[in-house]
Parts: sequence; C-alpha cells; structure tokens
Amino acid sequence: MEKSLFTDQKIISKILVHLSVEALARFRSVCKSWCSLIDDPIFMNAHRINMEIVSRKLKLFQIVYQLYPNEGLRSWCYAGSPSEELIHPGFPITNTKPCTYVLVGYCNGLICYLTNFLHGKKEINLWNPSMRKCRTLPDSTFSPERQRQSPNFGFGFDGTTDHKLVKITYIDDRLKNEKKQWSEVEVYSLKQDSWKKIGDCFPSQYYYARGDTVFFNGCIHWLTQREFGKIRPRRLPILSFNVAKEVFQEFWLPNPHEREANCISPLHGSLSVCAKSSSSVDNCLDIEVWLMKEYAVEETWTKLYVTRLDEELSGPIIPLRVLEGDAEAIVYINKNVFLYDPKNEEFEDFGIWANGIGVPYVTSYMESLVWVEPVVVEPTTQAEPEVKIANMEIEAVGKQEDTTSNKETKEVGGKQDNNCRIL
Amino acid sequence: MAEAASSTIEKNNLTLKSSYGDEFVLEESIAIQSVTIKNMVEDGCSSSVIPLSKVDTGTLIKVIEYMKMHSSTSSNEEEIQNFDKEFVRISIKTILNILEAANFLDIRSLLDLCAEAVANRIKNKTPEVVRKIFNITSDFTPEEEAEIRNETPWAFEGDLDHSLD
Repeated sequence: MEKSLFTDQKIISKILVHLSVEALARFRSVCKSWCSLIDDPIFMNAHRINMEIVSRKLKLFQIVYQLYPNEGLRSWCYAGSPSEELIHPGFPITNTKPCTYVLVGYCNGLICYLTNFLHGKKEINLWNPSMRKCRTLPDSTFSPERQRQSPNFGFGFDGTTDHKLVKITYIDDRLKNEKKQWSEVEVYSLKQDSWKKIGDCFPSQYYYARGDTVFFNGCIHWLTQREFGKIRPRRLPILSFNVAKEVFQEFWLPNPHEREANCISPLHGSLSVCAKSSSSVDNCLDIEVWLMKEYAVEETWTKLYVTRLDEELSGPIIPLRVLEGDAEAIVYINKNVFLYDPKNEEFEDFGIWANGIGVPYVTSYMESLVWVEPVVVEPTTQAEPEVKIANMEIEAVGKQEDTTSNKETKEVGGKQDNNCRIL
Repeated sequence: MAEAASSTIEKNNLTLKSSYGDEFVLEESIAIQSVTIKNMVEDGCSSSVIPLSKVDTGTLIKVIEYMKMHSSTSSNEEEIQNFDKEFVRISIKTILNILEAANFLDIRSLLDLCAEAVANRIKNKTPEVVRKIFNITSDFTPEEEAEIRNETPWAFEGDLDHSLD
C-alpha cells in the first residue's frame, strides 16, 4: 500500500488511546495531525478513561511523601502489592530555598501540593509525574483581615474537561459587628487559569476541613476537625465538595463517639473510612474499615472488618488508605508502611522507611496527558533512568502479549489477561 | 445471536466479494456482525453478491475467520480470548489492513482488537519507524520537530525499537 494509511483521525485515535504517556509524548513528533490529535482535549479525555480502566484492573496505587526537607516529593507506584513496585518518579522540585511540602490532593494522575517556604511564603503547585511537568498556580487575590486558621485546599475534576482547585478560608469577623465567623470559598479553574469567589457556602463554623483530600465520584472529600482545645461539636462529618456543581455536602460517620476516622478511600464505587478505636477490653487498638454501601446514604454504613494492634508495642499507627478490590488497608506503623490483607490477616512490609516530614499520602495511580504548563520544570537527571524502565513496564502490563515482545513484556507476561479496551 | 437469527429465518447465506473478485459464501447471521452488511441486508441488498471493493482477498479471509469464531455458540470466553490473542500474531501491515476493513465493515470488536494490537506493537518504536509503518511524510520543519522533542526529551531516551514490524 503506497497511500498514507488512515487519513481518518478516528482510527488513529483508536490506536493511540491505548498508548502510555511516554509513547504519546514521543509520537507527537510523527506529524502535525498526530500532534494535534494527541493534544486534543477530546482525545485526552478518551485516554484518561482508558488509563482509569488500566489503573483499576492492575490496582495501581502510589505512595507519595517527602523524605527530607528540600528533597522534593517521592512517589512510589505499586500494582496491587508491595512486591509489585513499578516506578518511582520524583523530585519535581528544584527549589534551593528551605521549604516543606504539604499534599493537597490527587486527581486523574495529577498531584496538587503546597510549598511552605520557611520565610513564610506559600506556593500551590500542580505536578504531573507521568509528563514530568510541574507548575506553580496563581494564588487567589482574596486576603482576609483575620483568619481563624490557615486555609484548606482541595483538588478535583469536573467530569468533562476542567480541573479545579477549591480554597476555603476561615474568617473571624467578631471585631466588626457583622456576621461573626464565616468562610470564604474560592475556586480556581485550570482551564481558565483564574480564580472566582463562590462565597460563604462552607456548611459549618464549628469544624474545619482536615489536611489532604481524596477525589472520587466527582467530589473532593475531607475529614474534619474541631477547633483546637474545643470539645464541641462532638460529632464530625466527612465533607464533600461536588466539583461540577460547586456545592458542599456532609456525610456523618457511624457511632461517632467511639472512634476517630483516619482515612477516606473510594471502594466499590462508594466511600470507605478506616478508623481507629480503642478497645475497652485490653489496651489494644482496633483498626476498623467501614463502607458506605450506597454513596451518600448514611444508613448504609457497614463494618467490613477489624484488625487489632497494640500501639504500645508497635509505635504510632495511622491507617492511610483502603485499596479497591479486596479492601486491603495500607497502614503507617512507626514510620514504616505496611499492607494489611484482611483475608489472611497478614501485614506485608513495603520496605519504605518513611522517616520524613509528615505522613505519606496514598492514592490510586494513573498516567495523565494533561499539560500543567505553561511553566516547565525539567526533572533532575539522576531520577531519569529508573523512571524510564519502569514506565515501559507499566505500559507493557495490561496489554496483550505479542510476538515481538520485548524484555519488559515478558517480565509481566503473567498479567496478559488484564486486557483493557474502551467499551 | 446466531441462534436467534437462525430460528426465525431459514439459514440465509450471503455472498461477499473481495476487491480481487473472489467470492465467499457466509451465513447471514454471521455476516451481520458487520453493521455495514447488516444495513445492506435490511435495505434488501442481500439477494445479490455484496461487493467489498475496499477489502482484498487475504484480509477478507481473516475477517471471515474472526466473524465465524465470534458468532460460534460452542466456544467459551476463554477460547475466544485465546483466539483473539493468536489472531493478531501477524505482521503489523496485515493488522493494519484488517483494521481498515473492520472500520469499513463497521465491526466494533474487531476494530478494537486490531487497534490495541497495533498500539502494543508500536509503543516502543521511534517516530521515524512509525512514519514508515503508516506511510506518513512528516510535515514538520526540522526546527518544529526539534522543538516538540525538546518539550519531552525523556520520551526519546532509552532502548527504542527500530524494527518495521
């Protein structure tokens, strides 16, 4: 055949949608029509859906944390278990000034984090590890006179084409005789690269959102905390923010007096929490995994399993995440990360001595084509070879084997039934 | 599907004609996996030979082999999966021909199978090799191409596959 094959972009799109971000980044240089196809938002969306399917089938998840100040963030990616380590892209940050990083949230392969410089300046950054791009987002112009506590952020996707960052600022206006305590909520659109105010829509003045967020079902989810030193409110809900509709909702936890929720995870299409509760019988700690069987229906909370640990023996215990499928829990015990398998009641060590700042952040993992541009930060050179090999492994996983299989394909050949296709 | 069709209608046969003029007789219930053929049957074109001017004989044989397997009621899911895996163990040019035919005949599952197989075969290849496989002439100036490569230099490193198949 001498003619150029497939002038029909639809067919090219059907082929390219199966490729990894690395291959697509390479094939942007094939010709102009391939380049504009790969950069097209409709193609990106089809690719995102395909990457989600791959991620779910392979149970890909990542552990992100900062090892030492100024070392940047590290991300370890696993397929289903600690022994299936795939990649560790990291070090997106080339700051030389002393700073610490706080993870805000993860969505569609993008990681949102705050950089707190020791001299007081803050930056909000968006990192795409698969494209190896990082960008500092503009901050909102809103600055209140009095804040009750530092603002909270959340990061999510509107379900079509836009990623949004939400910022909640807690304000204390009791000095003026107006409304006493309130919150200003602002939303940043990645597509429009701009902020807007949506006003005082935070559901309560009695609690704050807590730390990092989990995005799924179109909503950003936070655990909540009461004001320092206060007893009330006794009950604390899970807070959600619908990214497309830009509204908050509260989900109340079951039997709240006895336990403290530690992490939220998407599970079986709904929401799960992992909670610690002290046992009255002995001095042990129960780690409970609860599932809200029907999303947003509080009556459907169901306890999935409990595992008992002795915190005095093991050191501090923090549940980090419940994984899809068999609901294994990732637990941070005395600075080490473990995978708890409820079926066999066994703990498996990840071999990560996470002796860094703060607590590791665990999310699902998928590749993303989203350009977080315009600011480009080139990755440091040392990290590259590792990432290179690993990316190819990820790519090989989930694709069917073929006659020209390279080394990587063979290594993961046992996974060939993980075929995936857009249906 | 095949059963339902054959119980209501007597086993109707269709004749498909390749671009080389070779004719193949196929049960209608099998052939209508192709939406294009199904539409022709519904429009009453089925009495005569269906000319497939865009599909050569070799490709048509493969397409018929695929449709027969996928309409067979005796094969289970695992057998079909194994069949699909073997089916694409052919040259990349042949897969591309089948892909083009599947697009023309509108056989969704075959199109998806071939598209994924092609993706799997080109994933580690260089842009130069991909151009050859798809008969594409680059319309970038050398400066433009260098600029695009510079945006993601890491995607061009490592052991890339230079083979044409």
